[in-house]
Amino acid sequence: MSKRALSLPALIINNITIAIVPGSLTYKGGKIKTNVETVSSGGGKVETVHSRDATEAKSEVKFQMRLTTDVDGKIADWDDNVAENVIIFAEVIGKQKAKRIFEGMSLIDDPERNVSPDGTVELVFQGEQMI
Amino acid sequence: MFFEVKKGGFKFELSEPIEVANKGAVEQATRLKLEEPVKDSEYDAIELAQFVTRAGLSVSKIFAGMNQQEEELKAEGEEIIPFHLQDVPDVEKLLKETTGLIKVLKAGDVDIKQFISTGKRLLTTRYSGSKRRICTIDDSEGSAFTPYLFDELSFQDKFCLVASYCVFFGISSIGEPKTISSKELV
Repeated sequence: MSKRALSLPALIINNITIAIVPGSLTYKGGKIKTNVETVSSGGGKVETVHSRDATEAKSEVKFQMRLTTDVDGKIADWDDNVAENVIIFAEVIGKQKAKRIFEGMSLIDDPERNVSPDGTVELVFQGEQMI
Repeated sequence: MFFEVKKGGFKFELSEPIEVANKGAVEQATRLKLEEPVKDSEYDAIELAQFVTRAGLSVSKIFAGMNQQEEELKAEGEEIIPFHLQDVPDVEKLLKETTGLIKVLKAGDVDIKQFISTGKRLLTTRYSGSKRRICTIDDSEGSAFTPYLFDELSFQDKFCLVASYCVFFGISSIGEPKTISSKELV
């Protein structure tokens, strides 16, 4: 059975739809990492020890926006809203609506703006695991 | 449909909840708070008034009945006070008039999609120079009701929301000179 990919989602931050550079949206769900180590019990016998590592279990949403005149205002608002940004992206594919929700997000780093005719700014948010 | 009706505004109960971002979390919202139009929203309001008037004229029989009622009241010198200016708005009358308007719009020569789209603009725009929004989310401490959230509503809720707004705030009479009642003439 053929399937369709999530390719042109609407990105919504704090209930407002944001226009982004097509194809620039990437995300991580914040999966708990599983470490696998080996232990040797002698005689060439090796076993594996598995452990769960939650230290990096945070979600990440990364995307680019065109450097329009209203961008700085938006960035300032998101930056002030520490741990309280909500990012949703959704796409209607056929009759189904694919939706991803990221709660308690903060804008990390100081975004670098590229002032040029096709200037963009890349924004990275991190927060709670994806719902 | 109408949750709380009082002078100056009303709360609209959605038939299906919507997901709203509020303070870092997603919440379910079922109630919207609506307030009267602001100065800069008049051009959008008059556009809605055109839809209502056009629909009414094309459904002449129904409209004639409504007009007659209005004329009778005027003849008696009784001024028609819009719902938002009444001290205790009559909810039953409001519901009846909203249902009537929905029927007139459906039967009339009006593009419902355009009517809803104009209503969306009126209810979701943050007009410059205005300190408040016309429509906010009542459940989540008055957070903004944005165009994205409007799109999330069911068709029924969109249609009823815009129609009830038109009726409550007397949108169809916007721009008309005020009637001088016979009492004032005496």
